[in-house]
Amino acid sequence: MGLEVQGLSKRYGDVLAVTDLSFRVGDGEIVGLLGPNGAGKTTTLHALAGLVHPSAGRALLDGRPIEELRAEVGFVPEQPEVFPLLSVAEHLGFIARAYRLADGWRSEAEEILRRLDLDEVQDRPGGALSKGMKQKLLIACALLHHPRVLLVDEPVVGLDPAGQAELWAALRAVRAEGRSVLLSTHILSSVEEICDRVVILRRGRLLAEGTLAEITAESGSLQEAFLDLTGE
Amino acid sequence: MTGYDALWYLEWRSLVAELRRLLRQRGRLALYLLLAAYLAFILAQGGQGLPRLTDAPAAYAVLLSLVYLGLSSLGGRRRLLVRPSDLTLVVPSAIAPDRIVVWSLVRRAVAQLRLLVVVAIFWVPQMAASGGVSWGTLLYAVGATLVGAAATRYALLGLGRPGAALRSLLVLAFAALAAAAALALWRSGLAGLSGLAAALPPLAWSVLALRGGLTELALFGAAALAAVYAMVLVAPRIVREGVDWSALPTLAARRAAARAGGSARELGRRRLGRRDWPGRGDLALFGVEAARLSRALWPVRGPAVALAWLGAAAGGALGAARGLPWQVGPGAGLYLMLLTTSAGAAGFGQVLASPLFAQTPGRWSRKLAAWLAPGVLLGGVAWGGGAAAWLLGAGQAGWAAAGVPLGVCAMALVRSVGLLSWTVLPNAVDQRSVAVWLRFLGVVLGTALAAALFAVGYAVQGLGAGALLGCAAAVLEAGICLAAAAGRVARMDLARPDEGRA
Repeated sequence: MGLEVQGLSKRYGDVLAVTDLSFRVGDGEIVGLLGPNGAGKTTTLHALAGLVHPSAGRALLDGRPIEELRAEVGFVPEQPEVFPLLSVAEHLGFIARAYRLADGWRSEAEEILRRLDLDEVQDRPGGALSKGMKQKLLIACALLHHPRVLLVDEPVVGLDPAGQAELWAALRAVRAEGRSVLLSTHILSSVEEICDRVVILRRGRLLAEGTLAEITAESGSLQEAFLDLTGE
Repeated sequence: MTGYDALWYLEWRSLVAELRRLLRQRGRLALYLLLAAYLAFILAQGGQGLPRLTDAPAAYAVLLSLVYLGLSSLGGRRRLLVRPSDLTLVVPSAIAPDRIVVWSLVRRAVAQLRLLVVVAIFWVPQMAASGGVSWGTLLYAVGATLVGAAATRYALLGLGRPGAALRSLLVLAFAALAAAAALALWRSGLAGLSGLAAALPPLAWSVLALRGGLTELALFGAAALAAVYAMVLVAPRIVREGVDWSALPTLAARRAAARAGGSARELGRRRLGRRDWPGRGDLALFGVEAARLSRALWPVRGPAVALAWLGAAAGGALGAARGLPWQVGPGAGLYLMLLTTSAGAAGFGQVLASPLFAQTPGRWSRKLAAWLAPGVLLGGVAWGGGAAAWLLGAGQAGWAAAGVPLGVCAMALVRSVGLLSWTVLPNAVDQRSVAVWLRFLGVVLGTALAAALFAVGYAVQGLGAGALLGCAAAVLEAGICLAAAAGRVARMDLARPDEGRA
């Protein structure tokens, strides 16, 4: 069943950041959330991650309100803020306790760190990591508890090409396990490379939703379609 | 217990890492050891030799401190979670919101307690005075005050936007209460802090509690527990509202930019000053800081509210002039100085790390002076105006005229010493503990010199000359501190100021 967003709206004072937004992310699917700056992508992800309170609407995960299933949601924020004093390994220790993971989490954590090329810096404090390493660490934290849905906000900002490849591999692995991914990004080539469907927003409203083939049917390329739809 | 073990793990590992870092930085470690030795010495001596608040028995001095602590805990930053990593790793996790707010409450109270260790030294001589307060009662009262005030603040935050209105009402109610008490003192002729406490039932009950009244102590604790219960009830909203507040500055910038007919970046560039307009950079910094302070003054917006504030402040000051004796002794001055210097510098790092400072043209000393100026003027006028009203009420018109300029100069000294202390110890933990003492010592020494020159001028040519000499000395000292701070800031890595420092 996956993730279903129904009539989501978010108002900050007199600013409507998101208006009556509805879309779906199926099981084993990666959906790209696209839109120009200020389109409401991050607000949407924050509402789904429980970081902001929606003014209206709701989100369901496998038919149940997402607020009741917080342990089933993984979130990778745009700003790679980590605990400055905790080491890389201690970050994963915190996540294991927060999600009450079974005893075997350590070996899995080591595997994730190795896959994301963080194994050699696992004793380094968060405050001493580069931006790209912090981003990878947050990805590792989001993957460790095997969420049913993974929300990823602008993940490739700060990642080098090798890091991007590692991230795509990780997201494909999540998809292969039948879990859902909602990916917000500006990098259209990334969307073409990895996403099954896209949702395009402008000024908080849904402009288009569909597979890449459906979106690009008229204009020929995702970039053209994006520019046509958003008027940018 | 889902969640508490993770949060405990987070705090424990952070503490261990902080202690390890302290052990590697010998300069910092030496300062902490010196402070600890001094604290031990003072406690062993029972506060002998330290100045006392001559008019105030123990319960009243402690009560004043509790009011200060409670108000500082009730106000301050609007955000529930001050560390950005809390938003990325704690809030979205599976930890229940009520546990997150309880954890945040405890962390806030402990952070305040660190400061309290320093303030407590001044309580020691008061404790030794007659009508003393037991240490057990003191700890209980401090805990209930900190927890109750912080929980009230969080519960109001959980109400979202209505919370802002409620906070305004709360502040106004407090101000009105203070004004009513002061006017009651004025009319009845009651003298001193004991008169103030007797004039208002809440204060009288608090004094009874501090003197060990079991019923009053129980009421005190029950009030704090009720606040915690209210906080837990609205916990999910508190967590989300806490995040919403953090999003507001961005949206406010966008709205301002839209009104100005451009993008937020263009607006920012206009506010930061023009690179092709030499000398405008520091003025732009003055404007940015003044705008920030004006936003912080949100409770006084609107003519009716501003008038109510002015009335309450004037009533309070005039009433205090009547109620408090003209000479309260040097202890009161030192106590006030400690409270003034205890706050203010912890956030400097976050502000100075902004590209605003590094990229604005001009010398660091001018940029820093421009940045500090709005706070100095605002604080100086507030403190000096209050003192002037008090002096006027006490029939000291000549001294009252000197109140505002002296207040502004004193604030300039306090803020520049604060900035210099931050350049020496930029770590936020240090700023709330050992750096309080550095600031306090700096301000005491600076004030002593200014006071000596004031006395010389007063003896030779009267009050005007004394005030002029005192102000000149304070401004000169502030300038020296500012220049020293600018020299240090220019050599600092402002993006990570506390890395690798001794």
